[in-house]
Amino acid sequence: MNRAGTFAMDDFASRLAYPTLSDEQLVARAKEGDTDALETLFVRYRQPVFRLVYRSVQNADDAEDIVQEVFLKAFERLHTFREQSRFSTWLMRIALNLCTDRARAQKRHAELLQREAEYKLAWMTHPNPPEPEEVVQQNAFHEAFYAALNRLPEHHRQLIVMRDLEEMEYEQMAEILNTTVGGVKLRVMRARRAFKAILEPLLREIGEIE
Amino acid sequence: MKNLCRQFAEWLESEPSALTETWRAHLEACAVCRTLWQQEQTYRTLLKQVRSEPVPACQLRWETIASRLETRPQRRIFWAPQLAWGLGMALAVGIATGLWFQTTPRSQNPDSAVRVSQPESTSSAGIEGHWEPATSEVQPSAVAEPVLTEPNPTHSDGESETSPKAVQKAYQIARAPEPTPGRGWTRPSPSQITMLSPEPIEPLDDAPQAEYLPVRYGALTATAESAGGAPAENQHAMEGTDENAIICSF
Repeated sequence: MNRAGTFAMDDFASRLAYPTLSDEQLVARAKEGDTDALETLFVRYRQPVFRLVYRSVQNADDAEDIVQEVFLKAFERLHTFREQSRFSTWLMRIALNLCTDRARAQKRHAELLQREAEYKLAWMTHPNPPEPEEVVQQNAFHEAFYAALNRLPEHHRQLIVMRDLEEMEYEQMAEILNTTVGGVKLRVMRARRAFKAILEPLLREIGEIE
Repeated sequence: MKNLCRQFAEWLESEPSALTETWRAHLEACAVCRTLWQQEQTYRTLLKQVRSEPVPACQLRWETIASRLETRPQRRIFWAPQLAWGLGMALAVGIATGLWFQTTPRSQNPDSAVRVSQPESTSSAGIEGHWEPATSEVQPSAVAEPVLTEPNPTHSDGESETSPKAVQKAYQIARAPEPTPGRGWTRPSPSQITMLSPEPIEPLDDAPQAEYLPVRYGALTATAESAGGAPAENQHAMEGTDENAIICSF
């Protein structure tokens, strides 16, 4: 094999090894301008970031827009990342900040109307529609839950999403929110109290609790 | 009992996985805590249900990110140093220019030779830009006089008398004996007054459209009355004392 072919094989092997590299290694290479490292980081964290954002905004299109903005911001400011926290934590922090910005900008009433229309469309296009009674109960649950979630202040909603929906560890949440574990536990407890205070009347309306 | 209920509420908030025997016995006896427990179970069921809902896969592609990264970083990364360099250079040039103006002697300024010699009261006339260089056509004898050191004086109404002839005449009139309206003075006739009408003066090179008005105040001299001389002489003879003549002329 000639010399150029050897280089090409080396490059190919190196790219194959990218998914096995750690975040720190990939970030170091990305800071040097390695686009493949950026791509590997993107592929690695695309879905986790999307899950968090989707839980928060409850709309796939909006979530994708926010995820795109998250990665653009992260990659543009990668030189400012001091590696004092994990890369994933840093990404999640950016994502939460963007979710907060979006929540401030958007009207809550418009979101509710849009989601209602999506549910109706999803039911009409469902391949194996479940029993109507089950659908009614699930929808009622679902609506009550998200109605209560949307009524929460943004900082409480993020905590419920991170801890109760995404089941994040307190340590990771503390890193993302830049606080202590004890502080996060306290804040989660307050967020749950606020959430339950809103949720209980809604569940009582649909007959789930007495 | 209330203490136990408070402890149970705190225990619930610590995310317990299952009831212990102690709390099970308490729930059988306390309806309030039993309700709390049921609500907690409902909340957990609800959370489990919402969590189990599938999250759609993110359809975002790397190509989208890469294409946007190609355009955005150039804007953000490269313009800042260029702008900083540009601003720095502009600031440096500004400071250098300011220092040069401060350190350069004023005598190097072409206008300064004339302006420096002006009294403060007339220095504002130099702003008009009608000052002639110090080597003007003013006669040496006139230059010796303090008033005539101004090469191109201007009236307070802004009309200048810059003609060398006019300057020379004014100087002669200023040196003439003081006219005294006394015994032989009479009111000038209308024909004499018409001679005092504005007379066009030869335009200067730098002010071709200038027109100079005669000075009308003061008293006619006996010479002018008797001789009925030339209009120009009469015009200047209308001026009063030497001092007035100087003031009126300039």
